[in-house]
Amino acid sequence: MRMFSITEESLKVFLRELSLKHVLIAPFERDGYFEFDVLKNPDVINLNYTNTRLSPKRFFLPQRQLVFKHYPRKGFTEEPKEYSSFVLFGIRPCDASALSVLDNILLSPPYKDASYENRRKNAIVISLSCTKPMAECFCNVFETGPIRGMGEDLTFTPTRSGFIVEARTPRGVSVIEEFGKLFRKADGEMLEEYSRLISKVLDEMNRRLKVDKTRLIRIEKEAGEEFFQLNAQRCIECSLCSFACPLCYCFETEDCLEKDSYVRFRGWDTCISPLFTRMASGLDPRVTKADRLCHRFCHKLSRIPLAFNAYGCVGCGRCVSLCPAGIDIREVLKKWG
Amino acid sequence: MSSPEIELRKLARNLLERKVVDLVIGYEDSEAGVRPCFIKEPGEVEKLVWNPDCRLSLVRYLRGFKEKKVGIVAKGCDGRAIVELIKENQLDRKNIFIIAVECNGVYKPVKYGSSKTRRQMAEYCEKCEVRVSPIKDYLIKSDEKALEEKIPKGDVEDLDWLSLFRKCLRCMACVRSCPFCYCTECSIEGFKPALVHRLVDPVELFTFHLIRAIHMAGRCVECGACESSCPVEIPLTRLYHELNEWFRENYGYVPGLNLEQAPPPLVFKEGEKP
Repeated sequence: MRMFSITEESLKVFLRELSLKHVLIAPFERDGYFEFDVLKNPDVINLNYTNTRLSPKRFFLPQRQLVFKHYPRKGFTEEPKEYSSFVLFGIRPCDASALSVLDNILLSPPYKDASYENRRKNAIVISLSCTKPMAECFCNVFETGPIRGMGEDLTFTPTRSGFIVEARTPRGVSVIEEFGKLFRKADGEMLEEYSRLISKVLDEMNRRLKVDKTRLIRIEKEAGEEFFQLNAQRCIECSLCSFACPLCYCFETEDCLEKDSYVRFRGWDTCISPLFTRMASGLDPRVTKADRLCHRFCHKLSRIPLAFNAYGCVGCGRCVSLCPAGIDIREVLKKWG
Repeated sequence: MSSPEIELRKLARNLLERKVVDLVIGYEDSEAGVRPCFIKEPGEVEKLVWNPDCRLSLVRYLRGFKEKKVGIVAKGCDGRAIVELIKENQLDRKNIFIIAVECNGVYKPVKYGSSKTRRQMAEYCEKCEVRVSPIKDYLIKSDEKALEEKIPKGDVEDLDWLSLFRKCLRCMACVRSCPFCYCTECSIEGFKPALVHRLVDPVELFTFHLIRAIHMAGRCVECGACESSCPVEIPLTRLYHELNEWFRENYGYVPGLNLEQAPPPLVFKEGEKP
């Protein structure tokens, strides 16, 4: 039995004890929107949020990180070693699913992403189910939510009488065991409410947008010029869609010269930028905006599924809502799904 | 449907049918919100809308259609931007048909996961004194005003800019949405010399925003394109407004009000102190 329950009061105690034993990252409100940060005081955690403005991917793939530092005079190279462990509480199922897709991509042999692996290995991910999805959300399309995602260790679902907790991994079970006295076995009534809730929220979302995701693979072959040209006119070539996306993992490196060392950093990059594929010779395989936009959607909906058996979009809706020019991935889904 | 919208569609159809313009840039409604649209056929004019959600300045799109004759839906600030760009030799007045729409302020966008759901008028619209474009080929009067809650004017000193810039993602949405950022290669994206490192660092971000602010002084028309596209809601126009005020005090110049007055950085006066 991996279903447990916890009351709202016990949840507060749980979070307080969690913040004492681990580094706790949880959502809180700042300047009119929610964001994740390391919290010393768990009282500021606010669970009345729809989702955080920016995705929590930066805790696993930081916007800028050190790759190595080389001291030519001393003749040694320094690399960051172990990363501290943390607990990510309150991540939505869609964002948690993005982590599981990233696991597929970045941790598949032979080339594992060492820093991602290190951070992921040391993190406990606790998700909080969505019972009121936003207008922009479409996680039902990729089956990454709204109640259960993939990638999380524990799933908390709010019900009328406290939270239902589902342990999804052995690590999740060990957390439950660590704080055993706060959790109880979920009773039949709660489990019934849980399954009712899953179908209720899913039905609600399916009424809004229903797409057959398996048909999306043909976008690669059928991507006509017209649709992307139309949207490319609108696109202002900022990097917002990729930076807000919980799944965009492309990076660039930059070498800096310091007093006595060379330093290499790596950080986020985006395929929407005209500089992304421009080579030193000046040659650019994706010259026009339409090419780049087409590439972004094809990569997410066709190439990642073919290579990694998972979709490159989790339906969080951030790119839809934040795009200054109103480019909508749901239109792509409706057209080719 | 409001009457300015009917008038706008009628005008756009007329312009396209008589081939006065090759295309009309306006706003359309979609599931993702109001967004720019590019109307090439008279049959498509029914898409056009006009409401207080039409916030993104369309002027930045004009540089993509330099050879064509373009009709553009312009608010007061957009018209000012066009004036300023004509003076900077970036646009040709002959090629632009300005459809001026009277603007009574736009909404601040309610973005992903906002805790506030009530609609507010944008702060830069509160400060705006130019409701109608200074140059126009056609004027559409409008009393579209669905603004429920006004927000108090903020001062530039009220904010801790360092911590605001620390939140910056360097997504370049402010640069890319700005009518005035027309450089083909942005100085802050260049490699030789790399003025600002491509990867984010708090100090570098501060440099980035300072470079941008200095470039905007005396040019910014406060259309709020940067501020409304910013994902972390940095109130950039408040900073640029302050710089504009300084410009007005020292040079007596307000950007975009008339085509005759030359921008001070382009004029040399004998005996002028640097």
